[in-house]
Amino acid sequence: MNIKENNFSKVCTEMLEVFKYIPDEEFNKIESDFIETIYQEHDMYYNFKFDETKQLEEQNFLPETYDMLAYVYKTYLSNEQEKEAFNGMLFKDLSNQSEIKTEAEIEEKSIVLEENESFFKKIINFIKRTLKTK
Amino acid sequence: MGIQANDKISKLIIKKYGEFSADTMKRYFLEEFFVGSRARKIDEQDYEAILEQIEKLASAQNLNLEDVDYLGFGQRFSCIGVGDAVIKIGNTTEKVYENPYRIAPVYKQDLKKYERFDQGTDLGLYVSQRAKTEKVPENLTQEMYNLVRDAGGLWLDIKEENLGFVDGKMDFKSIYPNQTDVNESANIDFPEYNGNLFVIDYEDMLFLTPELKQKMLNGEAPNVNYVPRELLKGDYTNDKIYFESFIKKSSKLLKYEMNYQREKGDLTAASKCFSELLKNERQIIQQRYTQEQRYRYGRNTSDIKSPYSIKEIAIQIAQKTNIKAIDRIAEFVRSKIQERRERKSADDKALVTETIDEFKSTTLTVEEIEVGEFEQEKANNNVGRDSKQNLQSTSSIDLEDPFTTR
Repeated sequence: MNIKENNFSKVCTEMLEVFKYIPDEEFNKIESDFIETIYQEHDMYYNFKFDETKQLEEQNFLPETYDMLAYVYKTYLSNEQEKEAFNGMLFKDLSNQSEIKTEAEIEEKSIVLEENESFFKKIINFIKRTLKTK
Repeated sequence: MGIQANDKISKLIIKKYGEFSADTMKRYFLEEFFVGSRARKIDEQDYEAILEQIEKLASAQNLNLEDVDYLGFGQRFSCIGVGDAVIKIGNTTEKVYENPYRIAPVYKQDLKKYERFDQGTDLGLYVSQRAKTEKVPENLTQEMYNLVRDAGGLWLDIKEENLGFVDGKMDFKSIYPNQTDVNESANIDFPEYNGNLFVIDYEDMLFLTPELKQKMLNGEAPNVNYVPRELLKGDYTNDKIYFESFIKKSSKLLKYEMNYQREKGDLTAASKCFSELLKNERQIIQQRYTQEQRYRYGRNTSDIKSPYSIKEIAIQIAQKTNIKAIDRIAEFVRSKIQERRERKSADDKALVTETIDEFKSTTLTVEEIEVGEFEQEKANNNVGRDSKQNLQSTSSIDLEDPFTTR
């Protein structure tokens, strides 16, 4: 999935909307140079309407916006352990989705993440649940 | 049932009283006509004054009372249309500062006066050129904003409904030959404006001149929008004063200013607007969400978590992307940030060069310095009328060009 120049500006418009809604503790961690670049590159004629009745993941974003959200998460919002766990969850390639799905790997990660924030427990539980249902 | 905007007043009177006559018109004005959003009624004396002007304007245009329109009411004025003229009745204002982009009144008359401030605001009647306010395209508000900014001013109350087209101006001089002191000149050499689009509001447009700043500091300009004294006193540019006093406090103004600066090519100024706008919009959204949650669930502010957290949806994000895509986007973003930094640094360098060039052009040559010294001698000897001015200009020769001397 290559990001095209014209799509990049649309992604930037969607990201600007995201910036309006994310909580302060996340917004304040994002480098201002990055935010300004997103603003400079955004497509002012692309009309994206953020639906306030929906959660962030339910918004009708372009696929590349999720890549950008992942970039923001990895670059600005996560600590080393969270980053590692996130990398572990990522599909290395969309056509090969089984790469990280071994019980041993997940158990190993869960030890690292044991004392981490609650949402990481959710991640592990989620992956476990997913595997059990297969 | 109140009066509807853009209706013929005669039609409404017939609907209410069954006939249109001098008596029913008077009844209608006293019972139904109100002034501004505070819905104040007018009294008989006010009515007589309004009627006199309606008749004067109608007869000058060969119209009769049946042709008079009710144009609606705003926060400050209720308006009546008489052919190409408009009569505005509302809070009395000080003199209106003239500029080529605004339709200023041509006639002013005081109506009801209150003895005490808490009884109400004094009423005034104003006559001006009527403009067609219907169907003004949205993009023209930005165009008008840009025009005013280019002329060194700021249009504060940006609204489509505050704009109107004027095709052919009415000759008011024959109707009001002695009316001269309604407005005040802004003392600005405005660029020529031949457009037919105008702002119809008498207030909320500011052109800061040194004279006006001084008046504001002296408290002699009560009708002008408030600007903090420290900004007026300091050595600030108008752009800085406009930004700090008005633009950054209004999301609407920030949007217009951001577009204006973008069009002008000043990306730094546009970015500044964007940052403030984002800050304002974030604040509004976050406050609204917190209030909603507090109202719905009675939660404490500290318990309320935003449903729009990126961290909270890391799992879902991970499922919709992959390492290669993130790497690609990271590379792309980094290159864009780098590009932006380089462009910004080039702009900064250009600005420094421009400033130095400007400085060089005002710095005197050796010959001029010698002349300056001669002038200084002349000044010391009290010879020559302009010697003081020359002395002042030679004072800048101590400064050095930091780039050539390094």
